[in-house]
Amino acid sequence: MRITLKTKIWLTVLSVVIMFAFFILFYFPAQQEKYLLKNFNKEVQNLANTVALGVKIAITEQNFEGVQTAMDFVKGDPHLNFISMIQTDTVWNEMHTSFEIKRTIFKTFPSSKIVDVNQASDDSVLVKEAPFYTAMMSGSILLGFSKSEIVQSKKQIRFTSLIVSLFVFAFGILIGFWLAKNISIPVLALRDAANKVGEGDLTQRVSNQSHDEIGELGKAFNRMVDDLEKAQEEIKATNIALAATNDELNVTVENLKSTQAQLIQSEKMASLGQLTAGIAHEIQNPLNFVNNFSELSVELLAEFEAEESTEEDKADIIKDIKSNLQKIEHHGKRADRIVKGMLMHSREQSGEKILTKINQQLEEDTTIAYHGLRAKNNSFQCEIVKDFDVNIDKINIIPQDINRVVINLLNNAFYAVSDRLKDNTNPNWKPLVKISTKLSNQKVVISIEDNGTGIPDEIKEKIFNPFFTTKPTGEGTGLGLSICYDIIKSHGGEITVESELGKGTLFNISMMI
Amino acid sequence: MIKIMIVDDEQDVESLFNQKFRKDLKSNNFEFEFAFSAEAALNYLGSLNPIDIVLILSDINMPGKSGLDLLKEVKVKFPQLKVMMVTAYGDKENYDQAYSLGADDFITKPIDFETLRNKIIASREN
Repeated sequence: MRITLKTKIWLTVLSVVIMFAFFILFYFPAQQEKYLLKNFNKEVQNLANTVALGVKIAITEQNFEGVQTAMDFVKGDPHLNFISMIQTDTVWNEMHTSFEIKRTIFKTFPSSKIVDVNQASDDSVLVKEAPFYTAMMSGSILLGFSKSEIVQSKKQIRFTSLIVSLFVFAFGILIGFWLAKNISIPVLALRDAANKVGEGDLTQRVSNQSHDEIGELGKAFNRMVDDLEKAQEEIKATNIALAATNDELNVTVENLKSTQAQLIQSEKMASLGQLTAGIAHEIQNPLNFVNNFSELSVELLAEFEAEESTEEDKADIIKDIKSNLQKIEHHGKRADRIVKGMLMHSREQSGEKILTKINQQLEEDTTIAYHGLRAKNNSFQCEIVKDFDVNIDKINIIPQDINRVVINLLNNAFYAVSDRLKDNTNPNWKPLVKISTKLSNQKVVISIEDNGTGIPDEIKEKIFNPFFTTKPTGEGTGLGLSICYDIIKSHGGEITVESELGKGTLFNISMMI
Repeated sequence: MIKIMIVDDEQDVESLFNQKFRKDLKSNNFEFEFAFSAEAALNYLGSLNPIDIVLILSDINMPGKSGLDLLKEVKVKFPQLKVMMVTAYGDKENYDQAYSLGADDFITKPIDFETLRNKIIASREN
């Protein structure tokens, strides 16, 4: 059950008021009545005592009028019910062994009233007795006073209490109303305003001018909404600035994109330029020889035909021309090889990936590479160790490309061991080339290792660059490893080299299955 | 007679120069000494006593020590020798570097042998 603040205030005030009203209505009159009765008792007793004293004096002086006067002292009181003088006699029995007290009414006013000597108080009359003793006679004054005044006073008190409690009740209810109004109305206004602010209406303010906590709450609320409004405006401004920045950024991104595209294009052009310069230089040397030896041969032929040349001269000339023609052929072929290598380098991707039994393929490549080398140099001997992982079956590759890479790496390995063999002085060293495959982490790793001359550190990072070669001029194009690198990269793989000078070299090719 | 050392990794330059300058060789105007690497050239120069070579013609791009390395060492060890650099790369960088290292001349390939002959003769007269 939901009890509103207003109700709570109301209930609190009401309960306090009711308690207070009840207090006024019951406890207060009861107390008053008690007090009133006590006073009345005391008053009547005093009167009785006074009369008794007056009677005692009068009797002692034997002034019987004085007795009358003493009794007249109370006769004028409108509430007097009766006043009696009681004579007390001590009556002995005949034996004079015991006695009894005999009380008799001596006189009563009003005389018509019949009073019992032992009359006690009842609901309508309060009776008080005051004794007196004289030598002549002993007795007491019995005074009866009407309680009507007290009853009247009680009624008065109850009536007043009722009026006061009604007044308190009404006043309490008014205070309750006022409190509820003063607390709950501004609180409700605050609640409504807060709700509206919550919905986004920042024009809401509360107008409570009071200086109490609720007024302060209202002021704090207004300040908060002011701050909110300010903050929101700042955010709006910031948003606008951000939007502008964003637009600028978008423009910048667009510019960057186009710059990047231009950069990529110019990078392509630069690498093309570099490549072209490389080709030009590589081809320039053999072409120069072709040109020079051709020119020389023409000159030599002219000398040959000249009349002054002797037979001996002519024989020399023929020898020179022969040698020149061989050189022309040699350098022509050299240029040819370079161009073919270049074409291989720049060719479009034409081969298609097919599932290939890699171990079998490597076996064949090894045979081709070794026999290719033996064909050039039949004295070359090299131990070949093959170690293929039987867990590898088919992998998705362009077979002719991978063949090219493997044969190239094997040729390099054979070249490295044969190079070392030339200067070898260690009788325990034997040329060795290892080819192996291994399955690791969903990757196939092809390793080609030799115990040849090794690659010096300073050129290790250059070996994959186009036209970089350590072979004597004319023997290598410097494109082999560069092409290998491109092929493995286009297979999504990686080719790495580890090498130590005088120990050997290890190439690792890793490709996803 | 001028004794000239030619340094180039292309071994056929020997045959080429011998034929191109066959008349000068026959008439003992020139004498050639060939070295096929910068290292070989330095070794040879080191072994000479006295040094009868007056001019070195060196290629720049060679495996091992480059022609520029050779130029630098020769200019320190044998400052009296003239050095002409020959290269297919006629770019400014090589050119500037060669001159800053003290090259006496800079010739781009393909070599114009007639001009080269004139330069060699001119260098002797200096």
